Amino acid sequence: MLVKRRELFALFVVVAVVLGIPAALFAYQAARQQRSPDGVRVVEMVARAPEQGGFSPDRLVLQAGETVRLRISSPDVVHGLTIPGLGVNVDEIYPGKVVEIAVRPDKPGRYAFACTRWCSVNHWRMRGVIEVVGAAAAPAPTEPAPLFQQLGIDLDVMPPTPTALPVTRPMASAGATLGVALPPALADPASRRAIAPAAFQALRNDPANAALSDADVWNLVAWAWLKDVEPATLARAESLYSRDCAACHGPDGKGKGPAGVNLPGMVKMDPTMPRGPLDFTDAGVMLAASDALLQGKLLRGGMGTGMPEFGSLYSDEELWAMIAHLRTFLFAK
Amino acid sequence: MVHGLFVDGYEVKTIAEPGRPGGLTFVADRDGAFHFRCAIPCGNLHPFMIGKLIVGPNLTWLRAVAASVLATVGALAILWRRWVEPSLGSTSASVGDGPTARQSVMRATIDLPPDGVAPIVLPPAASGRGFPISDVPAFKWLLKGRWLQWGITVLTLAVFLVVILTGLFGTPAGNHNFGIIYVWLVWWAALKLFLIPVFGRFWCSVCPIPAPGDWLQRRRMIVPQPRGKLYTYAKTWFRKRGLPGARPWPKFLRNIWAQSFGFLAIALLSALILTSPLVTALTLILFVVVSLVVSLLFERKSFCRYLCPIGGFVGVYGQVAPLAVRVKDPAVCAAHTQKNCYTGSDLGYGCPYFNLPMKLETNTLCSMCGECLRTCDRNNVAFFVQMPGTDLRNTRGRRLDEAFNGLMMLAAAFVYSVVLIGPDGWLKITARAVGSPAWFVYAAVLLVFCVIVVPGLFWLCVRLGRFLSSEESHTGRIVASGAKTDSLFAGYSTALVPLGLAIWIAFTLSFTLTNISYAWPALSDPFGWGWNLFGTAGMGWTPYLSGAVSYLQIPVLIAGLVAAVALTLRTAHQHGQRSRAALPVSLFCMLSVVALLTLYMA
Repeated sequence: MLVKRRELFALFVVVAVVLGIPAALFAYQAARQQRSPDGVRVVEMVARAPEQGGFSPDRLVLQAGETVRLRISSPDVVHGLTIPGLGVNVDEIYPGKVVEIAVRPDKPGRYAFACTRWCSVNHWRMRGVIEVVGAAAAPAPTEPAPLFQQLGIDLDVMPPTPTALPVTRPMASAGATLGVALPPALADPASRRAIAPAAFQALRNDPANAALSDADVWNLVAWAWLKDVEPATLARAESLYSRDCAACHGPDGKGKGPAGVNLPGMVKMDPTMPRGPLDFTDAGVMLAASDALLQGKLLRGGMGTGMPEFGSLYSDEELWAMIAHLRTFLFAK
Repeated sequence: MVHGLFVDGYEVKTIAEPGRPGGLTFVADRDGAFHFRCAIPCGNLHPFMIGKLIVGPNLTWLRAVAASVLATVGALAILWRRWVEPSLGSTSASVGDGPTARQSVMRATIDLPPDGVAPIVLPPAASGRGFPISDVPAFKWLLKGRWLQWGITVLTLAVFLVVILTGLFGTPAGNHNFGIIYVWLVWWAALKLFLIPVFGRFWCSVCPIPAPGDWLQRRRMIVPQPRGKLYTYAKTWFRKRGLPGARPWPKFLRNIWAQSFGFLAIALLSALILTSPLVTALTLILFVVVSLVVSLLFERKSFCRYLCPIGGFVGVYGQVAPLAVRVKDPAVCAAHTQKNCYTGSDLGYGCPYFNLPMKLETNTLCSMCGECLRTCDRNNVAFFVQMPGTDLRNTRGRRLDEAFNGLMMLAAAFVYSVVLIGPDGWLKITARAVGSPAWFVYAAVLLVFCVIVVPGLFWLCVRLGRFLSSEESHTGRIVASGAKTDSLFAGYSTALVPLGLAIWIAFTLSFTLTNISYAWPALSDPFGWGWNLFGTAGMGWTPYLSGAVSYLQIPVLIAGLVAAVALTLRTAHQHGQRSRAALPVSLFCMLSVVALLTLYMA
């Protein structure tokens, strides 16, 4: 029965191919998805542009002390991932590729995560949260309220434009070399943050500064507002700005970034609201705003303007450094 | 959104992110037109985000245009005097077409040269079919046996399965999906650049799409059924009255019109199919299902012969191939009344494509499956290695459906070049937004262009040629003498075979060389699930030979143009026209090449 044997062989091969290939492919994937030999749980996460659903899942519950392997993939464009509270920073989640990272949260709490690449006009909506629950949840230490709340600043009321504006660009380095002692309220960072740089007027009126030109007093102001941040921290803020802010506010801070042109919700808003992303070189606005006010804006976001909140992503140090960086668009270092 | 920039030819790359001005400095020291393209996957249409950098004075383009004009003029000048063979056979008539088949119109020679120039008579071609390669024992063993064809089919079937699975379950990012990459880059390029020009329609006989239906019809894979019997499931209600077996294919569909329109339908959706793995998989599944249903109800490989949108142009362009299945001595066939090759025998099945091998003059309808080689008990059928283009030497008795296929494919190549390679982003988005109002406008324009504008222009050229020839055409006399009409239009369309193939090769070269580097990571990580089977998953996107593509395209286009011009003159001569009748169609061919060169290089 040579005929039968040949036919059976051919049939066997075809059936083996038709059944074997899908079986082999899916079995291989199943084996990969299982707990690794070291018993680590694998969590699949898909990062899509926000219009397509953003991160899924966008809420993860983990046990404190548990190591989890996150496998992140993108079906559309390049995304990024930052989980500041867990020290995770992935620069590129390339479409069609899979990025694997191990996450091991030690402390219970809520950790925000966000996309770090401008994946669409709605990129800033692409966020999620990891909740870490602990077996013995220690009572979370109560954090003090942010400065703008302590001061009772209303974030939606813009302070009036100061009467005196600098003619030339104030220079912090020139202010530092003047050898003038700052009043205690400006020398101490904590109290200075409650004051707007419009305090120029007070310094100008101070008889001790009578010998200084207007430009030098402005240099002094610039120094007072930039002196508290280390150059390294400032550089970190600069890179954060380029990652998170420049797309809308522009690399030059003038509010003309490509992603800020037609922000959703911008057009139909209250006409008294800013018409686009804030121009950080606008002295009338920036000199009227105290650091505490700017901190409030960063913490809370722009309430319908498309400005996202960064309170959940930036540490306190990063917030103050970012505010100092924003000042550098007006004040030279 | 994050984009990138890559400049072809200069091979410089940068990244562009919103709010982070990027920059690129290079010395524009090469003249010509260079495509620049996005270098970071930015969405489904990413491979088609293309612009053009012109570095003046763009001499390459001017030289290429000049070369195509010179080639046209040169070919016309050399071939202006008539080259006529003493005897011309029929073309592509097959038994399955029954009484509607356009049998040979002309066996007689053209006796009276209308412009009084004595023809240069070539020696009869019949003596030299070429070299019968299947008479070499090793090849004979391979081609007569069934394991080779079966083995390749199993391989293609395996790849096909992976394509379907990755399309259905893999990443929607086309660049990293095995299905998209291996169908639209690897297979398509192999088909256009290699399989059709060398093996003609051979792909059709190892294609995985009809394989399930084929095996079910035969209920065998290796050993043929006694008397080549085929099993179909045409129920009583679906049988044609008076016929015991499967239902014969409807007469009005026994042509390749359905294939041409099927291809157009796919062309309408191509911006979606080419970029979506899921849609690609669903389309292929649809092909398999239709093919299966057709082969369970109808005779033989009716799907491949009459319906498959790919089969139509593969057959038409396959005429340039240097490989052909033909009979050795027609006299032996004429004396042999059993016609095992058509009916089937214990040795094999009747021709699955409804061909009668003794009538085969072109590759158009022959998939080179070798079935006739197996069934012929007089060893009178062989695989021949012939001069490329032998199939096109006879321009008489050509069929209109094949002519239309050539015209439609030419038009489609232009549409693809404008829509996919062109700079207009809005057009690409419209082409992909299937079902939207704008898409319907796009579809209407595309159909009018492919079905009316291009064929209409070609028809006008043919009419103008007749006007230029301005003498009662030889064909007219033949018609009067009672023979069937012989379409001059279809005759001239033979020129579209080398021309269209060259244009498609040029289009495919540009697209394939740019993106084929995606094939390596897709092999290691077919689903985009983070696998690394062969260690190539990390290989990035690198356009190959980006500076040399035009130097590959230009010779191909010129060669196709020269062949096309030669065929227009041949058509004129074989249809008894004066040489100048060929001028309008030659001009049509030349302008097509110039237009394509301009689209790509200026």
